[in-house]
Amino acid sequence: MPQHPNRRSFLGGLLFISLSPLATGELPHSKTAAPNRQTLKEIKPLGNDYFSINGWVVKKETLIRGAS
Amino acid sequence: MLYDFNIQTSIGNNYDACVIGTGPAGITLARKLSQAGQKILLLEAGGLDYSQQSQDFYECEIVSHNAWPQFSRLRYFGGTSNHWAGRCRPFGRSDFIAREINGLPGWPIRYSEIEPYLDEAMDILDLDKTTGFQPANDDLLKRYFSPDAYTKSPPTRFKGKYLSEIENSKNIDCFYNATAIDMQLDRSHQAITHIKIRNYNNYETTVSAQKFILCLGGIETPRFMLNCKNQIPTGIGNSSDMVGRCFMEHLNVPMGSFLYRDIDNTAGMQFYTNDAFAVENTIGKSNITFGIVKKIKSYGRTKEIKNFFKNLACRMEIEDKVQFISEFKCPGMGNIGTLIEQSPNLDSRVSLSEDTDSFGLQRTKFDWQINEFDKQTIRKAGKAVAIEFARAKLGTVRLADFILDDSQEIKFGRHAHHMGTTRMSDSPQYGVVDSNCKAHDLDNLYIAGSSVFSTGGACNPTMPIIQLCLRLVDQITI
Repeated sequence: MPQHPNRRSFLGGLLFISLSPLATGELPHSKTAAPNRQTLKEIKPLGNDYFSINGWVVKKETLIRGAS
Repeated sequence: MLYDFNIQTSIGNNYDACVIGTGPAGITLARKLSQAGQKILLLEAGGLDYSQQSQDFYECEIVSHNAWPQFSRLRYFGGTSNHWAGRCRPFGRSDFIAREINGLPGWPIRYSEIEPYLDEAMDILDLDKTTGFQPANDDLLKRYFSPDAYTKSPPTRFKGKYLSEIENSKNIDCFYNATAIDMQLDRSHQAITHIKIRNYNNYETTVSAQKFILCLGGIETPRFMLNCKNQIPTGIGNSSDMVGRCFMEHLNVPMGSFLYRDIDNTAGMQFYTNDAFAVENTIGKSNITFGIVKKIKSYGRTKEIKNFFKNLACRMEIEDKVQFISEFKCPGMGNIGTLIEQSPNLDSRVSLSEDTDSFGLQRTKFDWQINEFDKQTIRKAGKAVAIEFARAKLGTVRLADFILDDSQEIKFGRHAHHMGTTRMSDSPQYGVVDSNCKAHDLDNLYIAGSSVFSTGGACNPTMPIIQLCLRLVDQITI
């Protein structure tokens, strides 16, 4: 006698079907989104001329003038 | 000749040398010594192919950081060369400049001692001598880092390349399924007279030879020596309590990620710390690779499920939020890979567990530790490479939090390079073998392989292992 899916397996299947296209779709070649989604948390000096901003290591002038 | 010790249990006794282990070191020694006219007994504990029964002998007790010693080695003919990746980079002269690290001396020999064997080692490993070790990329970072220069073996599988030669050799008797379980000393405890071997039917016998050469790798060599305690309770060759100490790996540190300034650039780049940078900062050497992630990779039986969820997180751009579950980078992101020198450290060690294998031998207790020197190597190299990357206008590096924050615990993994546990030193106080790879405590026990490395540099160890083996052949036969 065929088994009927229970509520858990039905919902699990629905979630899998709805999310599969997202997970298996083509990803962008180069990913640049990470830095601009973050808020400024931490600035640390690295020697005289460089700083780390949330871990990103940039030259001091970049902090003052912005990236070119 | 080739024999299965499960079937053929009769072994002669007139051997010039008994070589234990058939990895790159053991096979190289057996071949070269036999070519020099010596009669060789070559022993392999596993069979001709992988079996779980044999591999189970590599189960270990892990007490600190895990270098996966159960899986990173292979216990059958050809040893770990059966899954070796093939990257080769020679040691440099500076690796052999004796400097004291953590109160321990460096190599007691100079690079010139192994340099003459480079060409032959390249032949053995099927490396292209016409191209040699070419820089991986342009000299872009200049100041503290040079482009890495390496080459790749096909990779050479020692079983595939050398099994038939050994089978047809009149000077080599090779027995597989023959596990060495004990060494017996003469009355004065100055020489090995016999070793005891066992097959998988629990048949035991002893074999003798003029010399014995252990080629069991950086974990199994000390384990075997420590297990030989019938005559000396602390194990053979261990009068200074150095056997198993100074276990070194190459540290695989997830140093961070990066963005190229040129968004269409997909080229990988590899750099190596300059000698002056390491010396000035009193740190070890580093091999640092910049690469663009092409696709997500997961491992193990559930890799499809892991890949699904990682891809999902990348697609939803929430990968930063789920790193506490599993660390990974999304396709298109820049990944910084590392192979970093670990310093010799007495507390990082292989000893014996209370657990025993099916032959009754105590298993390995594996206690891999890094110390302050290594943490400085990781942090200083990480900060320097990030600054130089920006200075060269290549792009921007994002360093892992633990590189920038000394209070955080450094994350690191393995490279399956097991070194230093029977290290070479002129003094028995600081090592197990002398500069000729002979055990300080014994007249006829030699050790070959990466366990004799005094320091590990940031080079893949297989080629230096072969160079040291070729040098050992000359020392034994001349």
